[in-house]
Amino acid sequence: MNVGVAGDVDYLDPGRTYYAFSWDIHQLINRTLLTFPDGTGPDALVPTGDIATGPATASKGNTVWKYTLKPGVKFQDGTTVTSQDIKYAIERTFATDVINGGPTYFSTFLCPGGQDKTGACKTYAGPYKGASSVQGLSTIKTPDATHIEFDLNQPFAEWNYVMTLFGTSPVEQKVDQAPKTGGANYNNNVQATGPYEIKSYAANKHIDLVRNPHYDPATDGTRPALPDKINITTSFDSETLDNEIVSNSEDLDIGGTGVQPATQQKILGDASLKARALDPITGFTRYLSIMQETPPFDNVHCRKAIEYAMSRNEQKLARGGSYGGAVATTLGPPTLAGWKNFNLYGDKVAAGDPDIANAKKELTACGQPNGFKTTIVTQNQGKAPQQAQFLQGDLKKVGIDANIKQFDPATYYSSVIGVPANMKKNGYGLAFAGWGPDWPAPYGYFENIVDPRKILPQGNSNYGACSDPKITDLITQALKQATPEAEYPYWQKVDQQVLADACVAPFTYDKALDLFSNRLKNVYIEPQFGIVDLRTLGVA
Amino acid sequence: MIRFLIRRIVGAIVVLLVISLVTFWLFEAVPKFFGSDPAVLYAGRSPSPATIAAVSKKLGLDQPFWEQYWHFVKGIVAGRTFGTGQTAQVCHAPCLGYSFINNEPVWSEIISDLPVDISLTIGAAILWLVSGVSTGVLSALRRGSIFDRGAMGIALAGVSLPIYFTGLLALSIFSFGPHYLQWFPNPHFVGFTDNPIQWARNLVLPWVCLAFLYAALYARLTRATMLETMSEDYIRTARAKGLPERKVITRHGLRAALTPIVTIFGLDVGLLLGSAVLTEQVFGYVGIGKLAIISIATRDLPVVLGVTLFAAFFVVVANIIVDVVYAYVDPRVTYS
Repeated sequence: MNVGVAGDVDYLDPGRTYYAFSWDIHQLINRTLLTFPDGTGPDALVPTGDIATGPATASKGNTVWKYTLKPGVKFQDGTTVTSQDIKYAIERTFATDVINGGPTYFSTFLCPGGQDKTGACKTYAGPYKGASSVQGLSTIKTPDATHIEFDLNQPFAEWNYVMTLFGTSPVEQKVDQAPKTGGANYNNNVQATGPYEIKSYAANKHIDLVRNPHYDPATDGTRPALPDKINITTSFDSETLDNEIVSNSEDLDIGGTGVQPATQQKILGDASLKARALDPITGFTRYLSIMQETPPFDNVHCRKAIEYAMSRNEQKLARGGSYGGAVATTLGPPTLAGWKNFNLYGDKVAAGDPDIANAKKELTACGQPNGFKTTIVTQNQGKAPQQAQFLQGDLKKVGIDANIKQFDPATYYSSVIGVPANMKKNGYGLAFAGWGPDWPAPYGYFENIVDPRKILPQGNSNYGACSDPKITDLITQALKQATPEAEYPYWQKVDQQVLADACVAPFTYDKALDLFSNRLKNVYIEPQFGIVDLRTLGVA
Repeated sequence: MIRFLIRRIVGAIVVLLVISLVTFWLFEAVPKFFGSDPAVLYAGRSPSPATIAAVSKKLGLDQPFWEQYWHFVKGIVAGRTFGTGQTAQVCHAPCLGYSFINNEPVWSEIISDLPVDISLTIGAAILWLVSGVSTGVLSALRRGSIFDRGAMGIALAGVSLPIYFTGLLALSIFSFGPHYLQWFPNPHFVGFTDNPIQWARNLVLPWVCLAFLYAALYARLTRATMLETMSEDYIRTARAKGLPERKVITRHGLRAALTPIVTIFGLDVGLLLGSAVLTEQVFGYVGIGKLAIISIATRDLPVVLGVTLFAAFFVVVANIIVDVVYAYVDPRVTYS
């Protein structure tokens, strides 16, 4: 099977990876404690056993989670996977100077005594600080080789979802403790537990996967793993890749962001191409962050004016029309467990149109009846500039005079909108953003982008600086619940409160038009990330 | 000769140091301009302040500018180590830095991409030098003839058409065109040592396209200098001495006309080795140019810095070689 992607994987080290399409590749190489079933439908969103026999039932008020490992799961060198290998894999993610980049939930919930204000775990710093540091995390217990127990520092009902993250992929201590193959070098020495192992990797060129001889399909219920070899070409020019898929010389673009506009036209005008295209909702919500620390957006009515004035249909159009997205009125995407649709801003907004009259009313309530000046920030590539221009036009109609500042994608999140002081200082009021869940349940989506306690001086993801104490209370309440299902009503209220505070203005649930070759079989979309599931694919 | 070389090499090192200092300063200054720590770029999504601080310390980004620059320069000569203890990452000399996005020393990334650019450049250079110079000479000698006009017309087209036009045109005809014209299907880079025939076959299109662009320039330049030279007094003297026309042209005319050609040839080859961005992009090759583009897009600053220095190194070295070759080509030039 030959697949391609415009970028490259972030990391092959399972403890450091965070891109959705990288996770799709990781599923072929690394097994996790739990995973999501293959296939589609709501069942595919419920964690099931991968290395573990199945999800755990919590005890002691959602703080103790015990899992049993399946027998016969092995590394590519033939060594049997033990619970210590999983414990060790999680421990190494505490060494944030070496193993960083991946999700940080382990440190949040497993740091003995909790993290300090800077997000550091003062009581444990990973297994690289000499012999005494190895196997040192007291919150993970491994009574024997097949049992593992997590003692969380706070109750958390979504823990089974955390166990689907690649941080739980076992890492062999002897490999990771050897300076040549471990630490940061583990990225080039990954010991596979999944059906494939890495034959060769060249950054920005290719990743070649071949069968892992020590993988036993009998221990796995989610990976059909049909092809014998998978050749992944990275840093592929997007349009060339599209053309090669059209001509069937490549099988799939695994980036999951859909085809380029020219190819979209080609597909829509050709029934044979349309027959090998899918158009899933990706689980990404696109929204406008309204920076409430930048005047006059410190006044909720000025923020609400934006909610009414923006044409969501135009944003949808700029993102590729009905194949690029669906109009959104909630921050949470429909793929999220416990998601509930609602609309706080009236029928016009729900239909995607601006509501000029209400926008003007809000402006008057804000004390700015004739509008004001502000700045829109966005990226300088792809669909972003057009979106910003549409918004600028919408705002003009209610008297808001917005100028547009464009930034390079590489620094946009990290250095521009991820630095609240920078936003405030430069008077940036409106920022285009997007977010997808780390797992398809509410905490894995909302936590970083709306929790007032997660407003960081750098690398911030709560771009609008939503700081309503009501949101904090609702999140605290949600975390106290016994089951994920019991949490859902609280998270629905979080979503509604964020919209009521108007610190974000969601406009589309992203969709992607994915094309695949005529020889590709068994094509499913994984519902959690809305991308083609690499586990099931086969070539005829 | 040796004194001349030493002088030039010292000059080259100074130029490279200045370039490295300016580039280094840019990368240090730009993120700070936005009020963020460069370490944020290497600390993943939503990094905690603690992680940013840890990464900053490991990469040495918390040190003062001059100290960082000193470690960088020292690393080129003596190699360096990032971090301490068990997880230290060693970067052997010549250490141009370490890519924390690709987890590789910059040097090995560049070296692994270099064969692409050497293959592209050398093949194309031979083609354009031979075809460009010979066309120029013939045009000059038959000034005003149909050949001259035809060749110069084509050369004008060659100079005006960018590689992304000729390259895409060539690809759409000979790679993705009608079946009977698909002489070079699915072009991608194959190492010379892996399969020399496939290597050459896949390179024919980029060679020809690149050579077309440069040959056109060289033909026009050769023609102009050749015309000028052939009207010099010493050519008349050579003819008056009764030398055969062939000798007049090659020994006296062409040799003098070659001097400016050698100059730009050296620079073109040097430049192309480090920055054949458009050609690589059009033909889908991942060489140093593409590496630079990718690194700029992902803000892999050590790689951008390394590639900049490497490309500058080629140009500087090409300049020294050109100066040495000068004296052989043109007896009027001495090393003093």
